[in-house]
Amino acid sequence: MTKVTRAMAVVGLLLVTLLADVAMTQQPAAPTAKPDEGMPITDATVLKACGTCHRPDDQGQMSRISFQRKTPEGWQSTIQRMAALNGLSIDPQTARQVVKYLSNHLGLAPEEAKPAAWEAERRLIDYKYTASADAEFACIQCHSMGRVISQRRTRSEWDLLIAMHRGWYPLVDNQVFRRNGPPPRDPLPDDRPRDLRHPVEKAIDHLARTFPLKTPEWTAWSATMRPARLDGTWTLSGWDLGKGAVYGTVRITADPAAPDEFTTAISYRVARTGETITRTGRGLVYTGFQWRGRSTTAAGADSAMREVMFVDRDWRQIEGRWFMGGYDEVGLDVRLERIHTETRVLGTDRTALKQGGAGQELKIYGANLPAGLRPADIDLGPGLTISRIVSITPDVATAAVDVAATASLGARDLFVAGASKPKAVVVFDRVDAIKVKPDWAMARVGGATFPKMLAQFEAWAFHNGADGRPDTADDLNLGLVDAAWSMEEYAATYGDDDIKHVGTLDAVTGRFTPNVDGPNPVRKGSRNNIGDVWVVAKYTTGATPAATVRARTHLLVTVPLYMRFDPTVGGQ
Amino acid sequence: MKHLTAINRKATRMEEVTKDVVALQGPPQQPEPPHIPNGCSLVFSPGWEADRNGGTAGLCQPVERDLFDCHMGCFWPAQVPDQLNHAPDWTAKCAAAQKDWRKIDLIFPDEKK
Repeated sequence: MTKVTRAMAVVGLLLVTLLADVAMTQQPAAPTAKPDEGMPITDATVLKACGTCHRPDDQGQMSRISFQRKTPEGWQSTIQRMAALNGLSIDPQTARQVVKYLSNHLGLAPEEAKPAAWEAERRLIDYKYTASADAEFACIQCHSMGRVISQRRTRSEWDLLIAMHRGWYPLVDNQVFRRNGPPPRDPLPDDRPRDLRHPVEKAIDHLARTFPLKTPEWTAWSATMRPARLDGTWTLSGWDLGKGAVYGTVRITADPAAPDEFTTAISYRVARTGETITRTGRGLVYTGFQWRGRSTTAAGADSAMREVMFVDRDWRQIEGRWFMGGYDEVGLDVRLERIHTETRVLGTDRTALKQGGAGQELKIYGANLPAGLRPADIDLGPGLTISRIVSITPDVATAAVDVAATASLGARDLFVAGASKPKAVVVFDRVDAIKVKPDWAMARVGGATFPKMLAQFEAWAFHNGADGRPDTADDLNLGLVDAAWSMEEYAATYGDDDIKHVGTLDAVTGRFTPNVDGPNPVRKGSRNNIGDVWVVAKYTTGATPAATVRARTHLLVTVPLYMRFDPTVGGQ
Repeated sequence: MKHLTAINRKATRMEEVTKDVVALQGPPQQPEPPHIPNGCSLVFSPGWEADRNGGTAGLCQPVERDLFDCHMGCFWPAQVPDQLNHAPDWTAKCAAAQKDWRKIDLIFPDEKK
């Protein structure tokens, strides 16, 4: 913050204080909810834990609480704020019961929660809220829009939320809620009257209309909601950033004493390398569909991953993300599908087969693969012949594949003993280019006082397709390749020395580990070890003569967060 | 740069940068909006994680230099604990944030609560 902006902030704070005084003398007291607007609370634990301050009325509605709905993370955040700022004293077990009751009875319907799933899944994504620029402007200056769209409130409650922000964050009016300077006086081109309300007024109006307490979705879901019966075996298909596809199984066992709590036994392989990972864990399901779990390997607590998944309403699929790391940045995208005794194909170790290559070994991952699998049971389409089955177990078959020199380039669907996997492999003749994913990345320095935020990169190979031109719709995606990784200077300023200080990039795995936090006396002005660099992948294509292709992406290495604003809910 | 000859110090420094100079070679028209990761704060200029160009060159540096003022002024409600309500004792152990920044408490919520 510069001295000028700091001075402006101080003046703004004085102005806001004065304006607030004026407002208090001119406006009625904070709006209160109508008696019949809320939802009654009947749970004795919640009534006891929260009722001292939030006294229930004669209809069982507790002030504030009965007039909003949230995700489990939202309710946990509320309880933590009550403990931190409002003198709430509550033991963890009681707090868990309160979160569970409120999430189940004042939660979100699946249709309401899904658009904000990335918030609970802790994904670092681009998100644009297009329904109201004013609402987006007023909210994302400080926090994610996911925090907002995962709540439902009465209009009075949305108003009180703004009052809460003004109370706890006294600069917020000057920072974002109110328009700085005089209102615009120039007329609109079509002579319509200009909307002179402040950004926060327009935002609240939008939020109250778009995210009301009572919705048809919640009415319908709360009528049919019940504990999901997830007991059984599930196949696991996932993507571990940097390692690629993973396939395996998850055995979910219900807790006889609690219908919404489960234990898990997880086993999966990294498809490309065959590395096997086993984990055990616990999970619980809020609101009939929101899985929150935690699992570990034999290594113990350091291997703990939190699990945030959505259970489909037919109880046949569960999707979400498992994550760990100082900023929840390391993890897998996962999809579970219920399986009984049927054969299922999940994927393959390689996703590209060379045209004209004989005896190329292909591992096929699945479930209940038949022990007597014959070459004729595997169909990879025209030009591809299974010469023999190298090995077979119930969850992985290794086959030798001959690809004819005349085989057409392009994707092939895979059929195995009645099961199928669309576009499982691609026939190719050369690698034309590689791309680095993700398209951008962010890391945070750490290690001294704060955790490091890591960044992981992958290199994907591409064939230009029939038109011979890159970046067109007919490009063939050949999947992950093992690239050599390095960093180059992203020269945004003169004398840019970022590459010397930001951290190290593993030349083989593509994982970036940032440098330590704190001022660095070696750098000009004792800058932190932050900066911008290009992450560069180089890949030798195996063509004759050998050719090296390269690609790069922007990595932003930046400062830590001194506080965590987004709490997460884990299994017990 | 091959067809130009440096005639002043600034141009000479530009020549010294042998790699591509992203910011300096930008087109004269309004550039694309910078990529700002979701959840990052853009409040004012510069932001917390990234400056208005989507990089780190324009950030307030080192961050510890301004930290105490950020804390006192409640300026970064989602990034730095504020002294007014949330963490009045946050810097109690620090005689000077610049010197003793390692002692500042990390106030991530305790999952066991």
